[in-house]
Amino acid sequence: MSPYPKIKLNMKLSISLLIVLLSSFNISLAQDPEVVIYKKAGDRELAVHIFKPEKQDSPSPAVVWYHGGGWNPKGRAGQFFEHGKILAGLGVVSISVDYRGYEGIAENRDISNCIADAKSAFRWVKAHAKELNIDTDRIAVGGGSAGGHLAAAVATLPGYDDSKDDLSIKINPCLQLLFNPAVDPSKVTGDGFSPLHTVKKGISPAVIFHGKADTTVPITQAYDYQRAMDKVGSKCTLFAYEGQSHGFFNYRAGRIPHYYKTVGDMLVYLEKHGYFTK
Amino acid sequence: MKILSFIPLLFIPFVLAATDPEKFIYKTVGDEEIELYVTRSELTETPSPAVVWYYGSGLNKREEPKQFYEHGMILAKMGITSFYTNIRGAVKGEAREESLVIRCIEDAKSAFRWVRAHAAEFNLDQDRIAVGGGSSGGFLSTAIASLPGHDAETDDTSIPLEPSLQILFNPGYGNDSPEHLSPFKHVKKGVAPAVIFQGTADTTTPLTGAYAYQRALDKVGSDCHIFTYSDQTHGFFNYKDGNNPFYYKTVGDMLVYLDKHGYLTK
Repeated sequence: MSPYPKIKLNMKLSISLLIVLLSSFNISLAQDPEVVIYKKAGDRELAVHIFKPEKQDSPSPAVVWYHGGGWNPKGRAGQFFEHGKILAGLGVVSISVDYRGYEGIAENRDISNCIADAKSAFRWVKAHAKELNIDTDRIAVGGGSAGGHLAAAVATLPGYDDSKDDLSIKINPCLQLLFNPAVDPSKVTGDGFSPLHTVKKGISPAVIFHGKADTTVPITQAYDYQRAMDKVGSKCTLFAYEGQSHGFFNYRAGRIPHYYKTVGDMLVYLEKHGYFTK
Repeated sequence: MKILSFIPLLFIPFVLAATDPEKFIYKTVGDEEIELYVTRSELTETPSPAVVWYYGSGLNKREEPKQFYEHGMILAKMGITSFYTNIRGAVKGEAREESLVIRCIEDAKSAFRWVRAHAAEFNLDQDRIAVGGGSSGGFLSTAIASLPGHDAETDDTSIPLEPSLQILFNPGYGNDSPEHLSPFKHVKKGVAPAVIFQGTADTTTPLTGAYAYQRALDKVGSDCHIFTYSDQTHGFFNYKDGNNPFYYKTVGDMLVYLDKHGYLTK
């Protein structure tokens, strides 16, 4: 007697199963991230979207990505999915983060919740390092615009912790990957939210990708951040792109050349700094 | 039942469509069919620019000309159609004689003419058909651009070669070849501009060759832009298994270059 229950499949059923198998295989194959809830905030479930390498022979480096969009409550995590897919090919786990939007009015945004969520997500990743098979010494933070702000905030801004977090988990990203980041958003947020002003000795190195023609977050912010980092002895590398405006690095029609250009610059930077191999 | 059974077949082409280029025969020599593969532009509203690619292999034969498939798939999203040319490279044990080089050049030219002859079918812009290649494939690209003669007997030589651009990844230039096999020595006024991607630590086709080519093009008033990559060696630009940072780096540089020179559809 076979220990397995006998299921008699008729032809029709087996073919439809085959179709389901084929199509799900096709769609999920490296295309869609794995989605996991990392936190509940009020009635909202916040998710991380994970892209993994096909094979992980040893613990992988990781990037925790924060999307841009002015901390808008309607922001979406997808901004760095295409980066995540390429990084997966280089053995990196990418985790794109949902976070709550700002509160208050557009001219005076309270972004405390955004930062709290950003930190919760980082702690969640560290707490799940074993399951994700990642190397906790090589977790970078990355983001664009407001998400660049959050990445820098995770690296530099004290406070704004969610009291429900396990605060014993230290937040220590190994690197900041910043795409035209709003490191000093005080014009729209008021004081107290600017990573630029809290850069301290020991802060992780940063690399910034910034368009010289950016009028939303002028490149002067990148220069300022570089100076602040330099002052405390941390390395901040700036890639400046002639004629490029805000969001030039996104994977989007008409911008793809600079998407690849910045991805190429980022990957070569990461390789040079031993991020892929330890 | 009959209807259901072919449904999986509908899915299979769909699965393959995104990755596998289409195959065409561009020339038949005796019993041998020589093929090229195509990744069509995903933007079809206006005639597409095209790149005719030649793989590098030291003129050795390859089953399939895969080297630039991954480049072509990205270019397709930007409105460019890619043709990947196979050539009758050296088979195992074949002596390296002039006849081999000539055969490869003939095939390269036949393929390029085939693309021009089929431009309407592929909805191509005849004024923006580039050649591109790596190493020996780069050499063949420069041959299409500059080298007279070595046309296959079966070619319709009324179809001009005259590529609009040369996209060269650490190419050979035939510097040391006899004159009739050295594109470098035939660079003439009106030759297509070139863009070269070159590792500084390349000992197979060293950077000095790129500089010499640049001087030759400069002399006749054609632009030649060299991107150099410090410490990179021969073949540094290859896709490999998607784990090569310099594949992405060179693709980024190439796309920005193509964009600046009017090859990309926005």
